[in-house]
Amino acid sequence: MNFGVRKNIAGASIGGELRGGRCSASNRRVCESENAPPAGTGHANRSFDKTSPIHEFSRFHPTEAQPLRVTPPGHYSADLAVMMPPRTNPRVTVPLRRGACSALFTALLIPALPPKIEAADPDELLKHLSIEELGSVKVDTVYTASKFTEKVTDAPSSVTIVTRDEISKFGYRTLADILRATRGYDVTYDRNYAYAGVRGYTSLDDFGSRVLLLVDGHRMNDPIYDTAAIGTDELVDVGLIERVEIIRGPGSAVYGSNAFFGVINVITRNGASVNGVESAATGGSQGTYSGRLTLGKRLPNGLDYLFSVSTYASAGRSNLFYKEYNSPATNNGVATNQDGDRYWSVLGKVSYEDFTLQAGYVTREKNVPTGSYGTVFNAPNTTVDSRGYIELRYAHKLDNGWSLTGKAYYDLYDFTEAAFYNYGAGPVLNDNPARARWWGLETGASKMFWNKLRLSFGADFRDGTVLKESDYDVNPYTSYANVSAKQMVIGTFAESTWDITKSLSLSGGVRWDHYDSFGSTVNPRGAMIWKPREGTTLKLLYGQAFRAPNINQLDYAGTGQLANPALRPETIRTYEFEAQQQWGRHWHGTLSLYRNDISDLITTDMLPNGLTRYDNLGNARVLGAETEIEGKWDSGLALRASYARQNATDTMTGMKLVNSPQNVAKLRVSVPVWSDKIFGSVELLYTSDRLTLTHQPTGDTWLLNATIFSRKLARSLECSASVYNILNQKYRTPGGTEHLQDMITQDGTTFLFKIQYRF
Amino acid sequence: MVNHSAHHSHRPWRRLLSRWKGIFASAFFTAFAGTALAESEASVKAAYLFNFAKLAEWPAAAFDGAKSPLIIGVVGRDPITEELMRLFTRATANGHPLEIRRVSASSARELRACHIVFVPQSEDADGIIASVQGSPVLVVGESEGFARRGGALGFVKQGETLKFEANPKAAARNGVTVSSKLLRVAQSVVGK
Repeated sequence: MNFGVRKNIAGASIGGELRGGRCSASNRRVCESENAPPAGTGHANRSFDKTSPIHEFSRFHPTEAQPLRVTPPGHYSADLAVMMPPRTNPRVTVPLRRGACSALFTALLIPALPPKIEAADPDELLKHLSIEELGSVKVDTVYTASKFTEKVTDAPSSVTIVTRDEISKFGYRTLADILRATRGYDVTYDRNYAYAGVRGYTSLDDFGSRVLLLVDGHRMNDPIYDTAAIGTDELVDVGLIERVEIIRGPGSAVYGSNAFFGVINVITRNGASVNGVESAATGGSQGTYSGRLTLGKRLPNGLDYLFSVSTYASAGRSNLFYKEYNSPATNNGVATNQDGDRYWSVLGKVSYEDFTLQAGYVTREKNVPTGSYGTVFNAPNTTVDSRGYIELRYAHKLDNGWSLTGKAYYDLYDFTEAAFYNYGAGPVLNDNPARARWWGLETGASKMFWNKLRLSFGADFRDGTVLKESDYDVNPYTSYANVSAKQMVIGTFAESTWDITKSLSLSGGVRWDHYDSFGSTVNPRGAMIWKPREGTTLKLLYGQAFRAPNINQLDYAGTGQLANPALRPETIRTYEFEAQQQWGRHWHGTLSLYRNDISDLITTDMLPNGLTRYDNLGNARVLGAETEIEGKWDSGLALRASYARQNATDTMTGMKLVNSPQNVAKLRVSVPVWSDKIFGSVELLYTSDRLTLTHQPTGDTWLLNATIFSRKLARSLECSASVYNILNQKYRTPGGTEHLQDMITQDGTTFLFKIQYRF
Repeated sequence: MVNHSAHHSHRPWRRLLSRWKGIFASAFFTAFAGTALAESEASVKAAYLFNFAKLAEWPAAAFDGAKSPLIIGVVGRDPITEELMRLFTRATANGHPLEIRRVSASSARELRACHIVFVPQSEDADGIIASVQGSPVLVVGESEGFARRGGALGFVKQGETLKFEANPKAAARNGVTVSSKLLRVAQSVVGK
């Protein structure tokens, strides 16, 4: 008896009021039941402990072509030749005594003060790179920010790119791991779903609806709950990710709804990158095993194909203790063998000339150990999320310079639940299924005029043909809700980028969306990008975005809950200044200052008659500053350190936002231990206190993760060993309103081994 | 006494240090050497074109003299033209000063006057390849499968880096020889 809502939010979660809603109105039946834990345990005496999530990492590319790397004894000439442009410069040889001291000195000195040309001018260097070296130069572009490929420094957004190489080196297991390590992003996990938060706003009342998740540009958020699946329910196995483009800031001016705080685009590998058969397996603590088999190739005629199957199973923690349930009636607060997690997924794509056909499916079943939504604690409660789609897309460049794109797709999302409720006469099995089917079309055109002005246009249409939610007890059959809705969305956008001078460019865009529920919304954005000198980029950004109310919020009516077809979209206005500086060839720094004004947040309203309803109630403001420094070398040595200060306030009450750490610091280093074969990578993630829904502090958290990764040790073999949360911090993150637990304990130290072989 | 023991405890460290210093030094060196450039695609392509100019061989008749210019023509408008001019206006390839031109796809005469023709994605690759057929022109492009379609060299993205495919037979049909080094570096060698 979930009352239909996967997450039934009561109490203004944004202000962080007591989540008393759990025990009134919609949860009435539960609280009257024997299953309710001893009164008061949930709210009294909450202990503080460490909080915050895991892993860290950055962008950086492996350079496989490392030419001229010969180091004759006593001379360090060959390496110098790489740094020094060959050809024009005669190779400089620095004769060294074997004396270690001077070797160390020279080694440290040379990278810092390399001879002549190296001096900071990328142009000079580029002129003198050999053809082999050119092949390892990173072409630093991003697609997601504007729906066309541009240099990262030209994008009208704050961008981080995470590559396949980094995923391997830092042992990232899911998209959640990747985001946790990314400046400005944060992840909350409640032992069922992982939720992405951006820049001080990680809500406890949705499924990541304020971040748009894309796979190869395809929208993954479903229309019922708006879920952005970043945990084990994510469709793409991390082993199939080529890169992830992560945008901080709004993207509604191009993408429409959900691109509220950020956009994440997962770009998958192609057949050429697999080039044969690839198999991978992992094994780790908590009885975790996974396997992947991938076939891929590019044929001489240009046809590129990839097919992949993945499977994963984890027994999870065998015993989880929750003091809120510490009574004999609820197994003394221990959930035994209730943390299992398993999925299987498939991904396939075929590209030929201008066409790509792509399809994917994932189904994931999770045991829910937390007794969420008032289910019977320590009973085999499970949720199953299945997500799939098939898409045909087309991209063509015309002779006159216009590039055209188009796509057609069909999507599905299914949710089912096996949950036990106790209304007083013993456990009753309840299901709370949701089923969504939708299809859509997209088209776009873009052209550069006179090398100075780029114009892009696009239009899309989405039709939710089946959008159903229901809630019923299986035996005796009792129906609590049965909702069926439709949704039609059309949108169109235009954007332009104008290079006024060589150093100054302006870009602006606007998008109009029309929903059959609330009508129209118009969202503009603008950017001024100034490069006062080589290596310096200053960006001034303004953006507006929206999140449309989803079907669950608009149409769901069940026990204790009313529908609210009058909901309006949530809106955000963002102002940002970003400065980027490149120092020499290896160092890069970023400073960002921003302000986010958020209005009309949809939260649960408690009506005088005791019923609940979603309403546009919340307003918030986040003021923040982020700074990041990054160093990268071709050998694979890379480091990145960032610090973010974020002050998030509920502007209705003037109180601090819940689940919003004020200080976040992330540090990570990857070191080539043995040439290009073995890499050691370490990340340290610090998150300061955050408040729970009952305004308890969770405490500071220091998470330390490390991975040893090797490739080329044997032909076609890659393997790695990772340890997560080495310091074994018993940290917790705030629980959402569906949980009695104010804080949810996260994993202590865990490990994972991975092996990959290519045939 | 205190001093003495403190001294002692340092010694094993020193010995260890002096042994490992050399290893640390070379590890540091390996780690810090090399380049980690992030460049615009157009400038990297321009740098490639310059290298192609140095690593291909034209029949003697293709040049008026030993010092006469090697002409790189860019078809239509493309940012690569600016990058070529910015980076390589004064460069020479095998003694020939580089000359960078913008050429029109519709003028076979203009195209054939070049030693290298770069065909941007937006241009009609097949038409241009056909119109320089038989003239000593190395045709470089960036559209999907350019080399397979009869171009001599075609850029391809590989992850975040830029590589190229080579079709030496297509180059040879125009009388241009691409060096073995160029073929070795190519991501793949295609064509018949």
